[in-house]
Amino acid sequence: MLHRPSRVATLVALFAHASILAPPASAHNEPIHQAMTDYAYEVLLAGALFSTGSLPAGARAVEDRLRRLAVANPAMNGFYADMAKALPVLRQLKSGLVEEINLLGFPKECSPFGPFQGQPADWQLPAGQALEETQMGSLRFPVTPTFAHHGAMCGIDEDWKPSGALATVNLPVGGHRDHTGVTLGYHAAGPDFRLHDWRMRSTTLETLQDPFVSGSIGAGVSALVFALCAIACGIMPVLCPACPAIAAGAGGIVIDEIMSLDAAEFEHSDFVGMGHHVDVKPSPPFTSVFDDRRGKFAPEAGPTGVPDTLELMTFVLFDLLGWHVNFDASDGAKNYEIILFPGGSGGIGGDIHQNSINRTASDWEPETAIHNQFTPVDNLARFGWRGFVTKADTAEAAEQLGFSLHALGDASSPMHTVGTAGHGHRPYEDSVDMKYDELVGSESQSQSLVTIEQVLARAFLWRQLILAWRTSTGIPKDVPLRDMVTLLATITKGKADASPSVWKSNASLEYFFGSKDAAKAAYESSAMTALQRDTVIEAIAAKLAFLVSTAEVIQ
Amino acid sequence: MKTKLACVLVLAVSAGTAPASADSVDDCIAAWRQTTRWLLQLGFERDQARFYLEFFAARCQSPGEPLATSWLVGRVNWDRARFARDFATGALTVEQYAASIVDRRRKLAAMRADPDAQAALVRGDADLDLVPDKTDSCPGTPSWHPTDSRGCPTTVPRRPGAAREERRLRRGLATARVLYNPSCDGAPKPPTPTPLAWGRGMQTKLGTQGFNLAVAKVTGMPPGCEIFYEIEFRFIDPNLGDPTLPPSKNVGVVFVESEDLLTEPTHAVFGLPLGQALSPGRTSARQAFFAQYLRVTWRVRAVTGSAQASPWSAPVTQGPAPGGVDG
Repeated sequence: MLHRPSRVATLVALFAHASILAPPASAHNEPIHQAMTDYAYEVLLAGALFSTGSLPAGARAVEDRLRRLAVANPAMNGFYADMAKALPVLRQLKSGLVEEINLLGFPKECSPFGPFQGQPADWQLPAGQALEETQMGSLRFPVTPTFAHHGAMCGIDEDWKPSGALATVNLPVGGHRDHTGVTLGYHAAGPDFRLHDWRMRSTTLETLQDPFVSGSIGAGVSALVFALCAIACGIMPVLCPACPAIAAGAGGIVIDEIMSLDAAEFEHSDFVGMGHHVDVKPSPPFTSVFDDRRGKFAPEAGPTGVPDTLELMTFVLFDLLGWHVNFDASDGAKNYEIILFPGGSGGIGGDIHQNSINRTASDWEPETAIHNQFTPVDNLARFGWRGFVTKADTAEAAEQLGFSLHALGDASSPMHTVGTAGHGHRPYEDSVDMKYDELVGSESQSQSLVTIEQVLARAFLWRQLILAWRTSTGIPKDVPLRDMVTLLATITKGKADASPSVWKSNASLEYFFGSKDAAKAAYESSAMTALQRDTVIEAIAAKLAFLVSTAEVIQ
Repeated sequence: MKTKLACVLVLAVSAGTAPASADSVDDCIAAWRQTTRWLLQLGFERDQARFYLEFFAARCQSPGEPLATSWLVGRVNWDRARFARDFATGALTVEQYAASIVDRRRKLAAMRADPDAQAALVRGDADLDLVPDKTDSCPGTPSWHPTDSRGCPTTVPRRPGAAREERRLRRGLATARVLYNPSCDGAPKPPTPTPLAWGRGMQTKLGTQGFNLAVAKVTGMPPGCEIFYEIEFRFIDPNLGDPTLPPSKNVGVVFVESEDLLTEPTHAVFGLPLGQALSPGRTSARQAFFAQYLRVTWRVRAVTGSAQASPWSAPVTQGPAPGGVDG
């Protein structure tokens, strides 16, 4: 099947912008997935070094906090010891990084302002050793989330250092710090780049066969096109002449190439996040047909199951353009169903968790995609986990582990726990992204120490959950990931519900149809900041416990 | 008459449609698209043609289903497309559109399990409310309006704040714009730029001074495909001399690559000149840099005229560059 991504991407993106597709897809931006995962690892490192009495002298303040926790709860010492056992296992994971080259075939140049002074980063790998095979603990540089994605430029985070007081723990040894955490974080961001997860085909007649955006847009000059006009032209070309806003220069164009579009198979970054929700509203009354918890299901999106106005705009987008899931071309439709065996349905899985009811093309494709129940993100977590366990000694393992870490991150976003594209989704997460350093106290020694203590205290509870599950099930070499993601989402939703001003439909509308700044300002209050900090810390804690337990499984 | 003729034709021809693989599903839909064009040439209305295409698509996607089931699915997809169009163009309100979605979902679920109702639907639904004429006690109901199982109108649920959201949405749709530049067709997705530094400095190209922002430069786009740098600031650490300032302030600005004050291959510098009238966002950012806040968290992404955007950079929190930033 011929795939012509460029014009299709333009079409999709144009309509996406016009009709607000962005929110359903987007979770936390990739840097936050990386930062939360890195934080979890840095705390793990602190606990490990504390356990072995090898914290650096400059980390006295951190040491005092860890000791204080252990005095209050002596069982913490066992947790620290488990961290010490996990540390080398994680450091020995293969990086899975594929070095990126520019169009000329050379490594990409870095910023002239940073330590590389405009030169490519030199990884100083031993002869014959590929970067992807290099152990995480040996990596000389911290990568950005876009390393090897989208033609990222340098791909090295020249400003990276461990957050707050954790910078006193992870000191340079042999010329560089331990970059295991930031590399795991890179992989935690990875699922957002999986464009093949959800691919669509369009049945729409008008959009594909008739003049789409007509008017006079001079070649080579970006013009502003009225959103409504773009929609109207797409579906009712008769309206195009009545769109004066399109006139913006000389030289008329009619995108007649769209006549020849391959409408059968297209992808877009805004589709990816359709599989990154886990809706933990009570079921019943809400329906979950294919898993014990459904993922995104727009008809019942939101905290009360009533889609808000922005969500309605996503219906407009999918229904107008006739976007259906292309089952065969969508990895997500297959990967994120957890079934007992190929073709099997339901039942209890190896993690003692309800498995999916198997869906075929005939289940996924007939209705436009927005009316489908998408797979829940706890399934995405489990999918990656199974891949990780079976490939733990390969360069692919880290990428697989990234699915699980990503899911834990998404479960800390309230809007992902009720499957909504609106209700403040985008401004809330943008606000978290921009405030992250403040939330964890990256630049305040005292607040950083409080965060570390809170992360450890909560991680201990997550760890107990995992150990109790292992004992009760008699499965010592597994992690109840689907239960963890679902529980974390339930905790997140509970906290959000207790904070009455989280669900802000107006902020979503304002974000896309008014002022982004005003929309984000709605989440600047101290109460919102407290909630955001709380949910971020909970996610970091869950990730920390998960990482410790992961190491035991592959040891 | 035309509808009935097409109906017979369509049912007869589509009975043989049985794709066996993904490609044949797509080929099947493509073939029916051609048939739909033919229907248009015969003088069918666009709305009718769309319905038949949705029906054909349903046949292609689920060839094993009874024809009447495909008819039902095609009808619902067609209804939804019409309602979406009417909502986007203002013919339906938020409440009416929301009600239509719920109504069609409920009816589809009920009729999918009812072959008799499906068959009755094929035979006729004059008011298009998805209740077959045979059982419709209230003919003439508006198509989008929710009804009970007898086809009689039911209440459209009220939505708190609907009027306000309606106004916001309509105002937004009337004024929202998207970037479009045909030179960007086929352009790759732009890479993510990064914030480098900010500070006071010269703006030689403009003959002014002011605040300058240095970002890593995005290159590699086709000729004529401009890069837009969307920058978001969150100003923090307010100047203690002004107790009226909020603890933080969000501002967004966009620069186009032609505003670059330099011609360096690796980085671009954009200026906020002092003493000049600027756009509201730039004015707000300049004020915040000038006297209001001591530090800023900022991030940047690249956007092209094909509405492709890079991922956001990681946010960076910085005070002014000690030596300033010249442009």
